[in-house]
Amino acid sequence: MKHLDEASYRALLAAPASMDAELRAHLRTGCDVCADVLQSLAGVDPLDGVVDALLLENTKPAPAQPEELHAILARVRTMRRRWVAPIVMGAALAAAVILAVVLRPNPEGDDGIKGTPALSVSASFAVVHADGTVERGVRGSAYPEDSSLSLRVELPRALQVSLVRAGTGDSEVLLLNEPVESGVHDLRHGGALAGVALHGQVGTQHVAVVASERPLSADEARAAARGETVSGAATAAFDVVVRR
Amino acid sequence: MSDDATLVQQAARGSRDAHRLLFERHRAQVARLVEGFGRLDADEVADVVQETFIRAFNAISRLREPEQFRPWLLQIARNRCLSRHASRQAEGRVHAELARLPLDEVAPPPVLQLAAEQEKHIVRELIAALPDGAEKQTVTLFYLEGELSLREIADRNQETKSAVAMRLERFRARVKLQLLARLGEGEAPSSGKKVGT
Repeated sequence: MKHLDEASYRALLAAPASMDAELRAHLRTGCDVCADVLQSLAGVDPLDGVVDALLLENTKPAPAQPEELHAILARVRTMRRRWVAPIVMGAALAAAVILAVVLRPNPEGDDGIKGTPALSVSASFAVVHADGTVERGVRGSAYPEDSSLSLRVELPRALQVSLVRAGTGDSEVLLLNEPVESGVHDLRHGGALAGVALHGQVGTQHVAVVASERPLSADEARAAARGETVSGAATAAFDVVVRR
Repeated sequence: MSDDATLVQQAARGSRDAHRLLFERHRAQVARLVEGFGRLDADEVADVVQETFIRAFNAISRLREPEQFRPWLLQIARNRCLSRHASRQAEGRVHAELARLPLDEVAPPPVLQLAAEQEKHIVRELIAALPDGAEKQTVTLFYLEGELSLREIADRNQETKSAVAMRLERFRARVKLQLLARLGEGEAPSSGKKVGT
């Protein structure tokens, strides 16, 4: 019997009715290998909410603290502002694409591949604040360290994309290395939006999106993020200032 | 007393009373989930509980299935736990801030609710089937009796909090496996129902 893996799990979530009877029966045996797979999955999916709701069914009620509710309601938007966040987010990301950050197409261009668009990448970012509000990201601007950056990239064709971050004087940290289809996409990882957490990164942060024909090694991605020429790679980068 | 779906609709229209009732009704479960996550300190637990309700209330008008409020809220809570833990652990790895934006994706569809309603016996059956030992004792105390905290269970067993949390995670995976096995059961493969869309 074939055991569950992450790909088959995601496929089952997307189309539960497609599960064949043999697999269904296998899962019902409580297979430890399959349970290991579920336990090791990163992120949260809709099934998690249902599982937790079942598990916590018997939780004893506890009196809520009025000051806690007060603190929560103080940060809940009123009805008039409720739709601001998603609208701002959409507008912010769209506008920021036009702003385009520093684009450094590789001098070797398309590596001689005829009939394909030149290798290029543009990137933009939105700032997601701790209270969930979103604003357009502006290069060089200062943002609080409890916020995060959500990245959007535009690619002329399917490419490998690396996301690299570095503080002033720090070595570059490779955050992401994923194949991305052509067009405009928000960077994702494991099915969820990916972002750069600014927590603990006070000071100037350099963020680079490196697009390449082939998967780059970590060293190559870091070199491209520093602005060095890497064959078959193009880089878009920007700086932000992280404040406490 | 109003049901969750009614309160969600009222909260979406800005009713502070509805917010309060939803908070009072679900706070204990959110707090227990966050505390049971086991990798956050007491201050972080309190922060994450607050963050969970703030995020849920700010996004409540986008919850397409109001009767699904509780699993949706708990999904947000687990998301916040992972995010907070990853922020501290990984300093900027992308995992740290996953799913800050896509609250629209945090909404279990009706097919999952049906499974949950029909399968409430799963937890008790799985606990009963466990061999006598640490796992059975831990999950009984935490999930069935629902009173002792993770710390109190660890103290009682003279072990670390993380050991208790790992045992709970293991049992949670068993429950998830059984729900997965029942997901979409009885539907035609072409029904097109999807999870999380």
